[in-house]
Amino acid sequence: MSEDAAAESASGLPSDILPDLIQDILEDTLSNIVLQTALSCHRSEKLLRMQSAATQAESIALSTLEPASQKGGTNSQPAIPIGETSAAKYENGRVFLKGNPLKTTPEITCPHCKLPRLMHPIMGKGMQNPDLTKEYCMLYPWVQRSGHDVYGNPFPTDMAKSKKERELIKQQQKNADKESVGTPGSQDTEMAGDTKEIKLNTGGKPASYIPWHTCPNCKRSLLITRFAQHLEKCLGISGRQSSRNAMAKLAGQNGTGSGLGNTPLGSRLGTPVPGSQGDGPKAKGKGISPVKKFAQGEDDADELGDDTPERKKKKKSSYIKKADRDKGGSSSSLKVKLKTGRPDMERKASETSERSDGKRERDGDEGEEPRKKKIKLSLGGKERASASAEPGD
Amino acid sequence: MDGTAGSKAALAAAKVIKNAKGNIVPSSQKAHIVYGCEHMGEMFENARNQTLKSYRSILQLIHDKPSVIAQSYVDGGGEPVVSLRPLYLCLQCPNIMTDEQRDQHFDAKSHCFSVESREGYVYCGNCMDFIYDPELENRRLLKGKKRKHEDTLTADDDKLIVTNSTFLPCRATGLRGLYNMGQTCFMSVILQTVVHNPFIRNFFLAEGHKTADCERESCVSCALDEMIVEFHSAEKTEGYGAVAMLMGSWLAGEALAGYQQQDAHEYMQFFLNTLHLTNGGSADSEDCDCVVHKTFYGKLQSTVTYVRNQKKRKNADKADDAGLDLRDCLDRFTAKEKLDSAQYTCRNCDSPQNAIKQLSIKRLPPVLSIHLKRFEHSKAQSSKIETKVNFPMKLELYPHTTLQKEQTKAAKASGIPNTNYNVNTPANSLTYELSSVIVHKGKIDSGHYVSYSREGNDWFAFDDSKVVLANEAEVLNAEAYIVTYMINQLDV
Repeated sequence: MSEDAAAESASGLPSDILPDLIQDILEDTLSNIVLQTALSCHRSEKLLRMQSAATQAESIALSTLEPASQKGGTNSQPAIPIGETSAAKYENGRVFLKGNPLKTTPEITCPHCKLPRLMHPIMGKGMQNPDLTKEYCMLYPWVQRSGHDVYGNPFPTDMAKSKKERELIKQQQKNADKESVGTPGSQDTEMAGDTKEIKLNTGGKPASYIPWHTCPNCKRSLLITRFAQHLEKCLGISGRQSSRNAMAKLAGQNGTGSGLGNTPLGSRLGTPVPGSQGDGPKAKGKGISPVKKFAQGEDDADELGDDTPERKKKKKSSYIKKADRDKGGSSSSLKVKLKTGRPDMERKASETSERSDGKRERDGDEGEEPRKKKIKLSLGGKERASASAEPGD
Repeated sequence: MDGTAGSKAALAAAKVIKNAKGNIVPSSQKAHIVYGCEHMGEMFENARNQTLKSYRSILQLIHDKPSVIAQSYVDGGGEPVVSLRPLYLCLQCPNIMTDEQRDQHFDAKSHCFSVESREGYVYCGNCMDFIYDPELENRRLLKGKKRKHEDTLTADDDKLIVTNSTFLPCRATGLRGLYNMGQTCFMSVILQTVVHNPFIRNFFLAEGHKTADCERESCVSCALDEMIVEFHSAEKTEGYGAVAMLMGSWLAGEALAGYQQQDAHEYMQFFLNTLHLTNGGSADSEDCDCVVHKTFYGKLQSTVTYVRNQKKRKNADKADDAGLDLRDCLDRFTAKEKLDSAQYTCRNCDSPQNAIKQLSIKRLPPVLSIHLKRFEHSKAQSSKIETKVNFPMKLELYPHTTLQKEQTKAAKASGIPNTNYNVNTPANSLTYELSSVIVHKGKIDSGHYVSYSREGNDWFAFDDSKVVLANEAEVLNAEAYIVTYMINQLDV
């Protein structure tokens, strides 16, 4: 309205008044913007102080009430909680303010947890060291500091780092923990920061932390950063598993092969009956159940091995047992075949092991890591491959 | 409901009172501030009804009547003056005053309370400050209107809630990052935008999708429910691994499945559609009342007028997220467009016609997502358009509506000019406020998505698992790909 009204009146006015008028309008408009901003700030701050005054009075009322009600269990009269501070009076759930809360209540108290709120960020822009003898509401003022999130946690720094680098960091942290006398193993103490920040809990994790998640499909645990990559294969959207699914479909031998995600779970249940689907490329997946093989060949499985060496060992040993069992338990017809096809077998076996190693290398993206593994794998791999190839031919 | 106040209330709504020792405080002992100040307490005790009545009529005056009334005072010489600055309306008599006159009035007549003429704030002469009385604030936010839907929560309900609730950590305000699970940032930005959408968030926090009763496998809604509930109930501040969401999305939308970069807008369409299907959405989107349609679904109308015989045809197109650019682009989008006879063939008479086509918004959703076409696809190649598109903090959408086009026409026909100019609550205003911005960095085939979302008055930047505070300038300078506006107020 203001603009319209001004324009209308200006139209009938001599032109020498216009500059003054324009200046007046501009000043009024700017003043309005300032006033509006100030008032909205005033409102939110005063509402906070009002609630704080009420909460403080309430806390006093309830703290005097509690011991009374514990002692006087036989008291027929239920005590009416009353509490009074210089800023407010609490009476049975109702609070009456006294004076202006902006003057009477300098401290903000959280109405939910009843603890004082920190008034300044714990680090970064505008930080102030709080009195660490007190306990505070966990809703801290937002932190503004480069490389840190709003809570004051350092950004995860090594999402893209290789396994080796992560291992190194982990080792360094362990050493640092041993040296520093503190609560060992606690993640909060691992935080890079001054000792003062230990008590102020930013709630997050150290920069090196990357969580593990269980795959809802195959129930294996893996790094969150590798999840999409893993899930793609696990659900058979692309990669090895999908080609296997496609193969199964083509061969028409496995009716459930088309079901997304069914194959890995199903094949985990047991080794397929020897000879039931025995052609070349299929055979190498037989002795070792696909999941197990996955576990050893896949890149994310290596990550698994990192953190839990015992599990890896277990897996290996259980695998060998299984392979042995397969060998031992295989039917006599197999043995016959073995005898006849032995020389040819050897060659094929080494071929398959090489082929599978090649695949592993392609899957792994961690530079020299796979090469090392190749040696390891091909050592054991020959045995495994021959063992697994046996039922096939 | 005031926009900012509303979202703040929503932030706190999930919390339940508990005392310092960890015991839940019974509802009868909930700290409830009765009056804004001692003086208002006195006033209420003496003349409660009169006070409420006169406050309400002042609110109606400043929001419904022509502003020239509440913005005029009488100066020292007895002359009426129109002021652009706020004036003060005495709560106890019909005086309208400047701030100086207000103080003199208080000294002379001891009329302690006056109402500021722009926002309806109450000033107390005794406190020499603005006061925020709970009851009066409720009425102020309603702008003198009555609530359409009464708050039916009784004291018993309140008690039931308090005794059956657990304490939620104060820190759990929904600000969490989302870990990148390997080229999943397109998903993270959409999830952040949805999680910070108060309509969707409140639907899920109010058990809108009952995960316990849901029998779908790898359900996207269940995954979102789990995520929103954790964001608002766990003390954690590190990122969140949206593993179930990724798997659910891949299983539900095969086109989007796989370890590769995807288009965020495509994912958003898929995601909202899946939410619609898993939350009681009906096949007919016309009258679907699922939460997604209630929140995002709008309608475009295309009106074609023959130049020759003035016959009209109306087509209503769907516009859950119209492919528009901003303000100017919106103007152009809803401007009249000439179609010559080669371009337009009437469906009724099956003959080429000269015509004028005009698009307008027939129905606006409370949340309007605007997708800027940054990716251009021609037969030969696809490319990214990096043109900067400015977008405002507040967007006035009334001029683009079908209603406006019709009303302007009606007003022209009747010839009666509108004399009711109200600055505080302009008639026919549909103001939307920016609520989130999704940014694509990099090239068409590879890049990174980040997003900004507003919580109350604070802006936050989300970059995978990183959450940092942002300011308005940074948000407005971002190379936006999808911007989301939210209506600034709703009648309740």
